[in-house]
Amino acid sequence: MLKLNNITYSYNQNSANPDLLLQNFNLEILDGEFLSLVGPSGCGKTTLVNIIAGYLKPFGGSIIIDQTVVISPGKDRIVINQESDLFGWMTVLENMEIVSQDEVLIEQCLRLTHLSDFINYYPRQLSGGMKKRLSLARALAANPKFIIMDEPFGSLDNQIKEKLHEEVLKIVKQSKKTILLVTHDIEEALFLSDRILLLSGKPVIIKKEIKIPFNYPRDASLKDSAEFIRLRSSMRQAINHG
Amino acid sequence: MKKWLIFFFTIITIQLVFLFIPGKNIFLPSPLDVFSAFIFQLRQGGVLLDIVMSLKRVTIGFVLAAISAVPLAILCGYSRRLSDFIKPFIELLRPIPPIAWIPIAILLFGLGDKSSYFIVFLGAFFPIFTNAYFGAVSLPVVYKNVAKSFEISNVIFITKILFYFSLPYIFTGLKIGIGMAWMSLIAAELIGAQSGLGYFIQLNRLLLRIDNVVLGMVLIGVIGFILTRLLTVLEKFSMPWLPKGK
Ligand SMILES: Nc1ncnc2c1ncn2[C@@H]1O[C@H](COP(=O)(O)OP(=O)(O)OP(=O)(O)O)[C@@H](O)[C@H]1O
Ligand SMILES: [Mg+2]
Repeated sequence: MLKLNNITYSYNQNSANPDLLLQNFNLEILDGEFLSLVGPSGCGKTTLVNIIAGYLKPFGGSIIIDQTVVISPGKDRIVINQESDLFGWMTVLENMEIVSQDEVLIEQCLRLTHLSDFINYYPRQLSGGMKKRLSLARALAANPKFIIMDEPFGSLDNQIKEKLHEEVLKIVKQSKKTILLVTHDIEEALFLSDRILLLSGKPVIIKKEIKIPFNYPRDASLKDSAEFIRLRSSMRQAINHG
Repeated sequence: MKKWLIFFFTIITIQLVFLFIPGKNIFLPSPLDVFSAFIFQLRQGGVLLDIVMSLKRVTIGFVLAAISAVPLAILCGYSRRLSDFIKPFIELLRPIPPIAWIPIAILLFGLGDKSSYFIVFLGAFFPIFTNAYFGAVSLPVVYKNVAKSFEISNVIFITKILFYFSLPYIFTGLKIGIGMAWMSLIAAELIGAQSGLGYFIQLNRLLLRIDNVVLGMVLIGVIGFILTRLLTVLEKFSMPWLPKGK
């Protein structure tokens, strides 16, 4: 379990009354769950991700993984960024080998993400969807407990996005990873998650918690079901009217 | 190709101008004069030795500059503390033209090749350092974060991430550096050497062989051009991950 305990943060550290982006923020991610944070642009989602990852030090509060307080970044929780975070000068295989020495695991991760036939390609030669799959493969190769995704599908067109949603869901459920997804796409969050938290700023608060009742495996046709449509419109209302 | 056609056309035009000017009392040699001086030198071998000497000096000085400037710049880009220590020295030494170092070079290394290596080194070091350093400090934060999360060791981070990210900047530095190195060398040879293309020009000036002087200049231009071209080829060859083009 990953737990945020009274996290407080602001970017203007020196002023007498810093306007806090996060104030005593609490969050629990359960083992094996797929949790999504949905919130408006600029509310502080990426900041939160950076704090969880250990890139930013919170002013107050703590991050606890399985009863231990964590401070620095580590292989236990890997971030997949919105912008490309692949090493452009390394081939697909080299991008994997720099994070893991386990050749068997690397091969398995590449197979899982359908990249086995492209190990000698440079990221520039991959499509947008393939690049995201490589980011995921690389994250899996570190064998983390948690994978944190910060709007990973933002830059992809709808068709590719939909296919990737199905694939990613299959992979993370198969490998039993705990996922935190940050997005502002309601439909994406509904399709992928076990649980969704609606956020609003400043400071960030959890406006609403939604438990998603759908079973796995899920496929795109789920989006046409009555229950899905009902949940989607109730979420949209929650976002638009306080 | 087109640009070269225009170039040759211009040379031929200059030659024609020389042909139509009456009398032989012009001080400057015509393109044909320079060409025949070149053929003569080739047969006799005189200038070839000077070319070899100059190339040897520029190569050694340049390689020394590259293998010291690149690692130092990358390390400075990695460590704020190191760069705070090194940068003041660099910033103060950089504005001094390499030829201003010639008296010091001769004091330190005498009149031999070592002085030339030193001058070439100074000419090449600063552009290489500056560009490589700029590359290293412009590494996006996201790569640093990825390295931290995946617990990539410092050595791997510097050699596999920071260095390769900076490589295009390093090549820019090398290409500027080789030009500076070549210019500094010729200047050094004009003043304090017993061989080399700079010396060849100086000698022929005293002998009043202006055709050879111009030949020396042309050779300096052509060789400088070739040196930069060689680096451009090396650059394309060593970064296959960059898109091809141009
Ligand atoms: N490095 C920074 N320095 C100062 N302010 C920052 C910095 N990064 C972000 N902010 C501010 O903090 C707020 C939250 O930014 P953050 O990037 O966390 O938002 P977000 O929810 O991820 O937005 P988006 O959905 O657009 O990615 C914004 O108002 C932003 O202007
Ligand atoms: Mg963001």
